[in-house]
Amino acid sequence: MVQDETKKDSNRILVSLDFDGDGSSFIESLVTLAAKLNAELCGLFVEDSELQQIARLPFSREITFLTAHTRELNSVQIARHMKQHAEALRKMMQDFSRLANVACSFRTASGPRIESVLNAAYDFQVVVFLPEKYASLKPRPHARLDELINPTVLFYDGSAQADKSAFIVKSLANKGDLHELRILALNDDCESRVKQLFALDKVKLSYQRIDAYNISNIVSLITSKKIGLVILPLENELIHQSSAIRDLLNALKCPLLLVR
Amino acid sequence: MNKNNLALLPASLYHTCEPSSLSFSTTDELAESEQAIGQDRAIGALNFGVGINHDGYNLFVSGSTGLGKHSVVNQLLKTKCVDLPKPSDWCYVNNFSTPHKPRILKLPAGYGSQLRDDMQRLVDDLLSAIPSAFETEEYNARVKAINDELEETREDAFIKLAEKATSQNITLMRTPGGYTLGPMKDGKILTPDDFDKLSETEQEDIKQKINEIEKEVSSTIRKLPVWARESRNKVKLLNREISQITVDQFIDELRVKYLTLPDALSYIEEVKNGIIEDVDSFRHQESDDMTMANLLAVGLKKPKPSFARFQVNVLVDNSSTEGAPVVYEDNPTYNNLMGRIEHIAQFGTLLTDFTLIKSGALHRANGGFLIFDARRVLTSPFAWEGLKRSLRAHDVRIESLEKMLSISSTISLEPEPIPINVKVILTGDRWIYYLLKKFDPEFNQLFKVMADFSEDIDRDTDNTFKYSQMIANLQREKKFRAFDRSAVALIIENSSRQAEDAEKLSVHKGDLVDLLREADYWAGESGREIVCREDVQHALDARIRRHDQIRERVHEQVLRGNYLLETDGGKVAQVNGLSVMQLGDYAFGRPSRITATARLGTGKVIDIEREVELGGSIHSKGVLILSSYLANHYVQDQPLSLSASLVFEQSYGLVEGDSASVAELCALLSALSKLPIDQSFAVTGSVNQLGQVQAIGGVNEKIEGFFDICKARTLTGRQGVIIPAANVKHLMLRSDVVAAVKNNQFNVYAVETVDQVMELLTGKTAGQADSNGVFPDDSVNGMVQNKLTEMNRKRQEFSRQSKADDNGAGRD
Repeated sequence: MVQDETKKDSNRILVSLDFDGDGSSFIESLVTLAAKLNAELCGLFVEDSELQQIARLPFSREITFLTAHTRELNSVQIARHMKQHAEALRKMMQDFSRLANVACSFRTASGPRIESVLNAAYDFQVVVFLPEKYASLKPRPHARLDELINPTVLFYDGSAQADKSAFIVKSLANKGDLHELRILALNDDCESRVKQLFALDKVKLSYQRIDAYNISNIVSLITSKKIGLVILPLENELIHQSSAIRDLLNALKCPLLLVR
Repeated sequence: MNKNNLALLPASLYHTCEPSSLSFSTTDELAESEQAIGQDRAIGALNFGVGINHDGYNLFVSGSTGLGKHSVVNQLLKTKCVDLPKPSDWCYVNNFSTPHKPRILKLPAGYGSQLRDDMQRLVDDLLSAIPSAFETEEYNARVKAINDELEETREDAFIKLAEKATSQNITLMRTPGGYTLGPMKDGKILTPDDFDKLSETEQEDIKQKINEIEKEVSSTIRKLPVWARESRNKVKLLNREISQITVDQFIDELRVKYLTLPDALSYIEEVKNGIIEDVDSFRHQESDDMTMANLLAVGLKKPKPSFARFQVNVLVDNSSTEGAPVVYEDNPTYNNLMGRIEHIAQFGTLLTDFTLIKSGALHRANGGFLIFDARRVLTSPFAWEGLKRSLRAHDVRIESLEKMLSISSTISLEPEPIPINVKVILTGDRWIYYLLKKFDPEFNQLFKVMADFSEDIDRDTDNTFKYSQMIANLQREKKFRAFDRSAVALIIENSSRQAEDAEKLSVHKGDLVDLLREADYWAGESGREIVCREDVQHALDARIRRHDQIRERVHEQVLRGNYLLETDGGKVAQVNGLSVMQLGDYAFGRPSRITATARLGTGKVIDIEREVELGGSIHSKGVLILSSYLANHYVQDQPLSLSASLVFEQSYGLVEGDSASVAELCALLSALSKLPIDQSFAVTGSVNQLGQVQAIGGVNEKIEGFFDICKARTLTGRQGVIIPAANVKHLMLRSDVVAAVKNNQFNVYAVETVDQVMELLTGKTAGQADSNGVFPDDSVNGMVQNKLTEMNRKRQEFSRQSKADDNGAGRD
């Protein structure tokens, strides 16, 4: 039953990718996630327009990772690098998907990163944003899915999207990948309802009340501890703004899974 | 002279062993006895060499093949070695500090294989224990904390930089290769057009700010590897702590087990440290290999970690050895003696490690005895030099021959040398011993004991009985039928024939065993339970029959007249000589016609064989003696004025030996005296300058060779062979020859001087010289002397005439 419902509710997952090194290290785990949820996976590589804008400035320079020296930043070169990176990610995603028997597609877009993803997300049930980090210098070792997603934070506001999120979490728990779950319930009703939904063995559960659904509340409750994955409903007006998502990603430093 | 005085009686022609003289019916009745008869000298030397425990007292056991040297040495060592201490086990183990120099481990016998099994078990145990230890929640949490700390440090540093930049309206962004900084206004990045619209001061201000922040970014990037290293060290320390706890549990058991063996304990400690240093290879096993990334990289799949470095290579396992080891190396090549380092091919590269070191015979014989054949070791490249080096240095150093010779440049090992205390016993022919003694100075220092095996023993009553016992021993050992005493008697007689001496017995065990085996076979063919004389005779006859085709062909050539040989009548300057043809282990006599010519000359006897390089040096020596004999015997006070030629007629091969020198002298004397020589005789023997006839070899075969020709042409009763009297004791003639002599159909004459030979051959008195050295005119010697004197006179006349002619010509 759970499988069927998750299939129905999460059969298309959009993953936001860019040249930021973390993308490749998450792909294996995301393919596994799609396989566990019986979902189709789509990678969206965004060629960041802001970076291209800087590159066109006459004095723009780049401080390199390898030598820590500065060199001229060339917009043509940047564009070429982005395309190469996109091709490498596409190939990697295809290879992993073929092994895991997951349907997979890949597309590219150009523009501000978060806006581009939100624009493309209209026919996807789940959207995954990977964390933006300054310091990732190389892909991390291939992490297992359970290493990536634990602990998971789920925001439950009683909406239909929150119910779908709950089914996804339940499915992951039943398959043994989820060990620790923190639920942020919007009010008493939501808390009692979600407690009925989650009677999970082998999962460490904790509940927390959140009085109002805003970014600062969520961030203050989440960032106090290390978090593997944050799941939020996408249709909420607040969360539908790119600036809010940017703030969340800056604060969380972990993948953000938005469920429509 | 009455020639009958020189004729030998039948009893002298064959030394019979009377079956009745043997005190048993069959060999089954004979008790076990010492196998090596007549080898007291060799056994004494062996006992001494084995017993003495000093440098250089290695042994060389000499004697021809088939004397039973190996069995005697083995039997002796078997009894000696039981009381000697059991040697240690020797192992090669990994040298954790310098892996290309494997170290040795000496352990009491039996402990080598135990340690090997314990180490294998340790690795197996740790392969499950270590991953478990590293899969605990506590460990994962501590590693995560270290990694998170690193990530936080790095991220915080850049966040601070980003915040600082933002406060100055500058944005910090990632690029594919690093970071870049850009100007912002109202939270948005300035486009090139917007930037152009700014005043120069504003533009310069932005550039200044970017420059300053760039320097800070650059400085932070430089710190990243330092932070990463610190983090790695923390993880390493944690891993060390976890692995130490895990490994100690297993190592403690081994420490208790090997408490009394300091070397083993020290090795175990090294293993422990090695495991802790390399704990990652124990951690990452099958589960990690199953990630999708590794499945994708099938072609580049990393090889499974090898734990060979924790193995123990038991080079010498003496767990089941009783006493000191005795090793016989049948193929003493360099590698088989010193050991070798094997390689395995991997992706076109030759790889090796200490587990591929293989022991050599010197390792296995360490603490005991090593036996091998001298000729084989001398013909194996580098083996002899390697052996001497090891004996000198008292250690075995395993070195790759390919590397020594620069044939291969593969990376190889330099194993620690193993100290040795081994006694080497070389076996080989006597001539090898003397060659080594002469040409290899080190041989004298390293092989000080010679155990010289006798080829034959005296044929007396005691030895005859012992020989019978040896037959009985061999019969039992080889599981042959029993031999009755008539069979044993014939074997003993044959042994004398083998020894070429009626008063000796050959102790060549190899030949004896062959004869026993063949006689046993023929007894079986005849359906007999006991081997009797007929079976032995059958074996001997069959053996000859198998080999004598060439003899038949040669004799056929004589009988058909292709080879000219007369056995009747008289001929001047022509004598029947005798030679022996040796074909492998079969020899037969071949009569040859020897002729001589004599003419006026300067005293030179020409050996035609030598002139055409078909004569050996000993043969030439014999011929040179002839001219000396002539001068000394007949014309002491005159120059020898003859020129003579001697030839083996119809001989097309090499002639060697001086056994024909009597015959050659007789032909020459006949040529000078013009006395015909009775062709019924054949002559063999060597002569010295004084005219004495000396012993020769192969006397039996020579007599039989002439007898066969005469018999084929009908025995006349006048025919016979003249042999040196010194050879009478060597006679062990075939029964048909003896029977012919018994029936006065054939004769064998034993002579001591040339005069006796000439009297037999010419029927004329040899003659004795008077006080002036003049022989009677009517004697053989007188006729020769007169001829030589006449030749001298003619030569002087020629000389005077020649001088007169020369003077006349001068006056003209």
